[in-house]
Amino acid sequence: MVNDSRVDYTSRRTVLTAAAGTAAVGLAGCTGSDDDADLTVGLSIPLSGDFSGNGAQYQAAFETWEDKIEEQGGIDGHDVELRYDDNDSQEDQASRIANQYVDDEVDFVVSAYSSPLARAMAGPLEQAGIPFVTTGSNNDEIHAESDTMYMFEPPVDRRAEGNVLENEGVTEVAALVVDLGWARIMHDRFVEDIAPQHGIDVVYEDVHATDIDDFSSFILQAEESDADAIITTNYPEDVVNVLRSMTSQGYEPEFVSSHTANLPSVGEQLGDTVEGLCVPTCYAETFDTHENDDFPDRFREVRSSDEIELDVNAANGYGVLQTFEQAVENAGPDPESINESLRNDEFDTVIGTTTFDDRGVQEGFWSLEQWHSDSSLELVWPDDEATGDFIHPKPWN
Amino acid sequence: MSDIFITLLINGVLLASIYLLISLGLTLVFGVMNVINFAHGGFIMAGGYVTYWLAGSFGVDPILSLVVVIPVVFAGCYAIQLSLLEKVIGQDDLYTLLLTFGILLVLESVFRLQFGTQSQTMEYLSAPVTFGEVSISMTRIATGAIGLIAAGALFAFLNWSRQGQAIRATSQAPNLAEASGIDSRRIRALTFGLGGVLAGIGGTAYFLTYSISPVGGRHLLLIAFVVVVLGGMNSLRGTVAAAFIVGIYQTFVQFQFGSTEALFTMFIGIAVLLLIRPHGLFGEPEGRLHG
Repeated sequence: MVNDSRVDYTSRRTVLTAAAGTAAVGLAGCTGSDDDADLTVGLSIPLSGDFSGNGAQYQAAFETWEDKIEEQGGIDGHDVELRYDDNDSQEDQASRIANQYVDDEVDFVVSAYSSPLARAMAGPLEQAGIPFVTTGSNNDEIHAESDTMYMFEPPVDRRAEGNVLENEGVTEVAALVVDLGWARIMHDRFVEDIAPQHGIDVVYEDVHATDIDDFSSFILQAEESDADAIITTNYPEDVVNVLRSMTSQGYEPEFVSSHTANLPSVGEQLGDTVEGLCVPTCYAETFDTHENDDFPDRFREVRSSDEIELDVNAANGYGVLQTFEQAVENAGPDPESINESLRNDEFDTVIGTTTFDDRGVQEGFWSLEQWHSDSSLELVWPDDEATGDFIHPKPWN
Repeated sequence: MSDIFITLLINGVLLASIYLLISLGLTLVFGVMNVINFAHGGFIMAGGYVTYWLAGSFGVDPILSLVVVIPVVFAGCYAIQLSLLEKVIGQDDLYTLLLTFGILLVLESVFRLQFGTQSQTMEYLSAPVTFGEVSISMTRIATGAIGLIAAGALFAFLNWSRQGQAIRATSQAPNLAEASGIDSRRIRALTFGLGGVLAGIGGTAYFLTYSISPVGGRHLLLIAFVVVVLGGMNSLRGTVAAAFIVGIYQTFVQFQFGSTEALFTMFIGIAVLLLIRPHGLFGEPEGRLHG
């Protein structure tokens, strides 16, 4: 018979063994630098592990930019080498990669996806003075202390939802958020700032654990609170489960918006139910922005699989390297000059004109997309960029 | 009783039926083999993924997919027991922990390679059934029915079949059972296979209502451990009671205070209970186990 203390002991041993194995596998993915290149860019990407689906999008975006740069013969005559390093979706591996970049004296570093992975790299890169840009990491609070760290994408504050709800006269909202730093920051901004500004009353809110699948209690509470709109800040699978729960409990609010609902898999899994679902975004293929006439086609030529979708993640990945490219053109190829340019200059990217504030966080706001009946995503806010009509109330087929 | 109370109670019972399915197999394997089976989470997801594959590729009705899920998971687990676990049975507990954890990692990698990292769900019987003011989805009703039928079938098998009685005998007094001519090696394989089948059915039932992912079994494994520990590590009846306690408690507390609070208080409650009653609600003190 196994006693309780023994279970604890063996569990720790098991976890440590597994962690050591994971670290060893992850390190095998690191590559050395090419001494012949004038400029070396380190790209820390979750190519394996929990975030590998997102990682594949960033990798394809980086390869798209690399394809363009090779075609144009480098940046102002400088050869550029991109180092693709798999962080295995693990913070300890991301930290090792950062230290390796410092040892190899790379010129510029990008962390693709996940705030914890970005935070794990910040210390050594800051000390070495290497410009470091995160993308796909929504926690802008990790940028407060750094002089060389930048966040490529504006913080999400749900102002788009605030605007459209005010326009439609919706005043009672229930909000659901996953218990993660980036999500709670977005959620709190909506509840504390955006909702009051737009005359919206958050009648019920809940923080759920990352592993929760059963949202029936939240739906019951939202219905009991007479909420006409639901705003969630969590992962795509949560969105799917929330909408399924609404359907099965016969609760049909006028408006539903979820931060991560732009993935094609959300549309595929929800079928007709997806119509009217809104999602904040900072990129659309229809944007009239720098190189966006070429980027979608080039991306689709370069990507290795049809399953890798062109969405906001890919656009941000491409945009961050466009920013690097223009920083080198503006100020020169050394890290100090690149950092100086990032602090002071304006950059034209596929997601729009980009500047960074004092903390190194991108300035700007997110637009709002909405799923339409043909499973397409149309931009519905702001009005002057809209590609489709805003559907209200949300249809429940 | 108010409509909300009835709705919550029904939701809690239906959630409990899933917890029951995923926990019974863990209890069975521990009771007979004294193995804490980390791979159980992988077997749960295996059931869900077989259903997903059959429904997505061949249009098989998810409930009918159990006709395939049951033999496939049983055969896989039977083979794993005979070819791998049997070699470390009776040795230090660390070996079985590491081995089953390794099997879990392998299964998760296979799911990732085959089905990708994203979660999968499917639309199935999603229309609500209304009783007065109370709405319950057909999916949840189907899920609850699967859980209760499978649990009933397990108890019938253990009580009324020769194989089932041999499993109980091996659980209660392994040395005596072996001396009576019971092939304990085969009984262990049968038990591990049955544990896997319950996990697999649990995975299918879970997939009808919720989402599955390569690592989704870990969370369910944690819930199953809570249920098994609460009920008493080798008590099947304790597992039944604990599954209903956990499912109903989680549903009500989640509604009243939020999902994070529900999990937090549940884990705290389990810790306190173990301090007072280390063998769980229905388990027997260690000295009285296995004769």
